[in-house]
Amino acid sequence: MRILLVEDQSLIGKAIKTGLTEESFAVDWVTTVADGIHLANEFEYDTLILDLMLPDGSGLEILNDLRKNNCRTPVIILTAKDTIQDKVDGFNLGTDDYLTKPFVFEELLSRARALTRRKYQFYGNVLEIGLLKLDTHARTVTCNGEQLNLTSKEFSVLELFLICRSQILSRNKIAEHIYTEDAEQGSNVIDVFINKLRRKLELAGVKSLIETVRGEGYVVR
Amino acid sequence: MKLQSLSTKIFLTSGLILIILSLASFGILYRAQTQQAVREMDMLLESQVIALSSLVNGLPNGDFDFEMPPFFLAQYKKIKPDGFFRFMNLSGDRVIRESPNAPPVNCKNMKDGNSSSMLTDHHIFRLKTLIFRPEIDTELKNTPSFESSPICLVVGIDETPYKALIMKTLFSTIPLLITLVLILIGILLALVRRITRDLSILTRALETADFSATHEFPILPVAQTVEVKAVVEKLVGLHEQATNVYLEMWLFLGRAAHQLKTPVTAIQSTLQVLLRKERSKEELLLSLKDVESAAGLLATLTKKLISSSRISYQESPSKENIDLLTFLSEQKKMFHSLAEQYGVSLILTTSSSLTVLANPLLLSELFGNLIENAILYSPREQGAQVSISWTIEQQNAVILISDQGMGFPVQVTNALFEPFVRGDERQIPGSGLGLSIAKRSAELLGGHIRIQETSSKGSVLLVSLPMIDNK
Repeated sequence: MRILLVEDQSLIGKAIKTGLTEESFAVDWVTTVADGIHLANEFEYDTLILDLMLPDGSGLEILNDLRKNNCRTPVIILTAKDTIQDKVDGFNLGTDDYLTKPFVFEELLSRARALTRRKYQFYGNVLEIGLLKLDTHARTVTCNGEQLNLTSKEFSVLELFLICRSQILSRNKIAEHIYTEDAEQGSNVIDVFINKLRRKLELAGVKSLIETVRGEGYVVR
Repeated sequence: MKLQSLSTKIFLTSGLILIILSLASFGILYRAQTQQAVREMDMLLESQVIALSSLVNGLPNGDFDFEMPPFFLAQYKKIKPDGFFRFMNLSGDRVIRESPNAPPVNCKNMKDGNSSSMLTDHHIFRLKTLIFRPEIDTELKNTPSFESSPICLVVGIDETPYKALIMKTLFSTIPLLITLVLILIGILLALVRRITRDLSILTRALETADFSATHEFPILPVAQTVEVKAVVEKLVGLHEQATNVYLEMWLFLGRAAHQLKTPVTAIQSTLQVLLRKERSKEELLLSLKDVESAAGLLATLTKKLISSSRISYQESPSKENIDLLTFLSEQKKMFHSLAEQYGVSLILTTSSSLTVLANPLLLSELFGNLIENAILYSPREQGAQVSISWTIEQQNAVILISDQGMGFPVQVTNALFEPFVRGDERQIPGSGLGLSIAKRSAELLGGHIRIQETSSKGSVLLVSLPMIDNK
């Protein structure tokens, strides 16, 4: 799941990025309105986290730009501005959530997850396919009751496949989902990654779950 | 002294005056009545003296002949039960003729024609004395060289019945007097109420007004007197002032809390993320450094808030003579490391001494904040300068602090010295309190501060401080 974080306070931005990355989100972090608008138009994010008071303007400008271009990416406003009017302004411009500082990281994390799932129109907690069960809340994957040992990135990609069942996911889409803009990626990194995930699933007894679609990408049917 | 309402006080005071006036008029009436009675008695006695003296004739043997038939005395007593007369010789040792009820008055001590009062056996008599030589009997008129002997006549009248009559007359007026006094008291009461009505309404309105629940001043009745109008206007003004101060205080508190949010959020989010799982020593150290840096921001902000609050309630600071050259040289040393960190050279361009009358702590707050601001807002390039110079203008020390920073945005220059108003909202770390602390310090020192010039290439701040105590 890929997140764009616009936050000019370096310590707060650093903490959020670290925390979300550790929870298998791919986080792009910028500090200005200009960079925010640029990246939001460049990549398809699963969620945006926007601070309002930025050195070159208000985070609401990014939100406004996004909605004007008919982009429905979920947005969380994370700000020290806590009056009713501030919140009303934010919701009027089309934010999906509003969190005031100081905030509890756990809350930001659950809101980000909830919004990301909503983007894929998935409202439950557990995704199932055959004997395989993926619990988005507990962040666990079990096969026939036995737990699989997946890395957070592997979990994230499996989650994406199960949420977007029957959709062909391109290598690019998968890369965007787990790697940030500045991460180094070779052309076959995703292929290696998918093969590793397949092996883990086969060891657990789930065979040929992820199919290769030649020239297009991968799909789980 | 016992506390009384104004109307009661006016009523009691004027009531007392009213009672004194009533008693005085009662006394004056009594005196007038008595004098009238005495005058009437004297006239009566005068006519009796004339009548009685005409009833005596002188005889050649020195004796007297009275033309009083036997029934005269009985008749006299009947007609004048309270009166008497007495004829005596001049030495007063022989009573020649008297009415039956005559008291033992003596002619000896009395002068002719005088009226006087005399007290005998619980009676006060009004007396009239006449010493005269009676007419010679008509039959003896032709007797040569005959002259009648002088005789003394005392006529008196008992005053007691007159006095009783006066008292009766006076007492008969008492009900009227009381009625009059009561009517006057009523009028007085109404008048006092009318005069103090304005004040009573104001007092009641203020007593029942709920100041705690609302910022609105209670609606007061329209004043009828100049004094009450002035009081109401003053009250409304004071209330407005107090409300403004109250609101400003809360606004300041809100803004201060808002400023505290950033470092608090940084510390909180760093620690929350840190505590989510087991960390290596390196990770721990890195996060703790972030926490330390946020705590540093928190400490700076707290220090500024304390300075701000300390100078806010200070009224008249103690002052001493301070040499600007020495003082600013010390400040330069204090800011040496910060200036070096930002690549700024801090220069004192004046080398002459100049003494100002100031409080050292306030002077430190003033220049500390200005110098710190000038350094922080200097461009991050080699050779950036912050220079300080001073001169005398009209018995004031004028100090100029110049920097080469980005200047103050025109739209906020007027508000720059208000708390939490910042020229540049986020790019440069700061509490937003420095300039407001500097301004208040300058004002407490009897001086002022203003932006002399500002452009995108730098600003000059002017501080003016008194060199002698103007008070």
